Amino acid sequence: MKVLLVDDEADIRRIAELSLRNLGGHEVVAASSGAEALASVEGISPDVVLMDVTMPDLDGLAVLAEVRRRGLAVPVVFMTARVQPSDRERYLSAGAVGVIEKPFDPMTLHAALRRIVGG
Amino acid sequence: MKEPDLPPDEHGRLAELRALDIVDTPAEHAYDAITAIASHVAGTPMALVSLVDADRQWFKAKVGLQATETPRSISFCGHAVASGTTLRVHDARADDRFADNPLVLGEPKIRFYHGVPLISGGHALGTLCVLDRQPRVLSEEVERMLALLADQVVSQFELRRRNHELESQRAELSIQRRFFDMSLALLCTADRDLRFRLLNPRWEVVLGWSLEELAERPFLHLLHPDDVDRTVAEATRLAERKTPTVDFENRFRHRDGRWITLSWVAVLDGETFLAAAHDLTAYREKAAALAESEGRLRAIVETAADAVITFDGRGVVEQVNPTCTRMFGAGPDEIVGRPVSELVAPSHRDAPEARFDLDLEDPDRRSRPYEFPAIRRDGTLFDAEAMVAPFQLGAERRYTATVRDISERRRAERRQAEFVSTVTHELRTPLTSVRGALGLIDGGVLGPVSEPVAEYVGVALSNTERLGRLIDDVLDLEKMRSGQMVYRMAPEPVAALVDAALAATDGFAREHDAEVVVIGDVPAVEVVVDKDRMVQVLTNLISNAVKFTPSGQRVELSVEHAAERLRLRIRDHGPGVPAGFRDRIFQRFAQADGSGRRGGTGLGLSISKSIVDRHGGVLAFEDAPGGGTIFYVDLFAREP
Repeated sequence: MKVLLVDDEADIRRIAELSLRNLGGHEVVAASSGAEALASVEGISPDVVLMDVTMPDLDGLAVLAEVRRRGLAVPVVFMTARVQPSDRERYLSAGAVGVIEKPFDPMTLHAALRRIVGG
Repeated sequence: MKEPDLPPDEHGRLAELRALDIVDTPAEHAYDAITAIASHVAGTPMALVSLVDADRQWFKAKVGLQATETPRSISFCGHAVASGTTLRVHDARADDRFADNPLVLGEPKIRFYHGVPLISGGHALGTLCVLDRQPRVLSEEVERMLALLADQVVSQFELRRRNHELESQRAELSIQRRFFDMSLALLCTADRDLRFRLLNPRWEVVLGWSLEELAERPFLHLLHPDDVDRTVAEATRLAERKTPTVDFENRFRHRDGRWITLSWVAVLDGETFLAAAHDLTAYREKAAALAESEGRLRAIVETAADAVITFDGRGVVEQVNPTCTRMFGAGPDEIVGRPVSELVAPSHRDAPEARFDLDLEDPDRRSRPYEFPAIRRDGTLFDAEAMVAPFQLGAERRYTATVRDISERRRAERRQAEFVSTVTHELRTPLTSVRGALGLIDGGVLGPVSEPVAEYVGVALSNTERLGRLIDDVLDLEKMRSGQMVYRMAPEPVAALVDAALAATDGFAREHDAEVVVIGDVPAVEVVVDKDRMVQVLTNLISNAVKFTPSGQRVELSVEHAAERLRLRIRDHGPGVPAGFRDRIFQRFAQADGSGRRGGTGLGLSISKSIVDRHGGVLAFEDAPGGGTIFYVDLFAREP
């Protein structure tokens, strides 16, 4: 799968990228902000967007809304700290297909993502 | 025989006779004497003072006769009364009217009769008469004497009437005297030199002086020095006839030295003052006390930090305190008389939860504060909170709203919420990196790992996880402490809570080689809870049970439903709660010795208990029969 990984933390991007690429065999394109993701999402045409919710400029929900506004059907999975079931419902009803809680286990991240996307 | 006619004034005549109240009274010397003189003057053996009643004649006085009365129908006097003039019967046997009269035929065998009518009050009430057993003629001289004697009888009647009047006057006076004596008002008469003459006994009660002491000297010496001039001036006004009545207050010295405030009404009758006074002391003291307590209350209301508004049943403002006018930046006139709902921002006037002037008789509605955006006079908004309480004033139901500006609190809450969310993010981000990096090393992704390194990476990893939980718990506690843990209460099937908790602990249980089993059926009832929080509680209890249960053993969950109570039990097969720890188990960072090794934060039970408390439930534990511990949560259940 081609994964667009969006997170403002370089360390997290590195770890997630390594996990997804080395353990899951996914192709990973990383973006460090919501704006960057929106700028590149159409060019990349990823199979899935794995995105942090809390980011300094545009947050994950705003990016998701814009992606949908552009008519893109790409599945979006959020990564976020401290997920309450009510938050999960909120994200899902906003159009995300799944939520991965931070801190995540890098050894199983790729599998979790695949399970959510169903690929 | 001819029966006597009734005189034309018979009705008034009988009334006069009744008023005289003489018939059937005992003999009286005056009448007896006149009758005796009449008999003597006329030289007749018989004489009478006869009163003609409705159907009899009755003798007030008699000479020479036994009877005390005879029927009117056979009476001679009846004829005299009927004509109102003197009746002369010289020989009854020769007179058609009387010839066959039983009194003529039989005893006392009357032959001669001379009766002078007794005219009193304009009516002939009876006669003074003389009678004989033989025919006679009286000289003019004797007739004149008898007429004079008849006048004497009538004079006696007048005397009697006057006595009656005097008696009734005396009775009236004695009633008045009794009123005077028992009056709670202070009644008195006084001379022009301001000396009491007549005082009712109330004076002794109110002033403590005896009536004699009070009347001893002019009463000015008992007056408060400041009141003397006023009192003299009022008396002078009356005495100089400048006014018919005066109405004023002054203070009298009580025997024990206190000043008694009296309110006076006085008139002058001839040379005598008539006055009534009331003791106002108690009333004045009560009024002063009332004014003081009212002043105190007013001060409380006026200096209250909250706006205080009273309004009527239609929601129209009646009164506001200064805080209210300050808070809303409006003069009292701009609030009073207008609907209280105008204090709510227009955007929220249709929102039932903001309208603190509606449904006020519903105690449920009143028991919690109304939160709403309030609008100042200048249109700016602020967050406000109102509590409303009803009160009864006369027949009308009214309401007091206490409105508080909570914008500062709201700001603080927002800051706090931001802080919590920022801290969550800021702490978790590096933790995610640490956890991720360690995970990658541990997983051998970065190359083979030697056993001692793997062991210590394992230590780092498990502590990273523990740190993550600790961050969660500390933030939860912080939210609870600041009251911003938001509870979204909704009815949830118990089974859904149990399933969610089992799902959340499934992996953890497997890691610990423990099996979590549900014993028996989960009843099909609902509980009103915040699902996330209640699942958090159950997850915490199950995780604890898993931690303390030796591997290979079961953790048993059961749900019992009786009446409104629902009890969720989680039983472990662990070592039980140590005796020295039982009291502290729900405290923060409380951990039984050695349990830190099990990866807990020491905050889970404290958080769980707070959550259950907020649901109005109970979280407690007991020793399980045969070893281990049962933690249970009691909640109110309802049928779905």
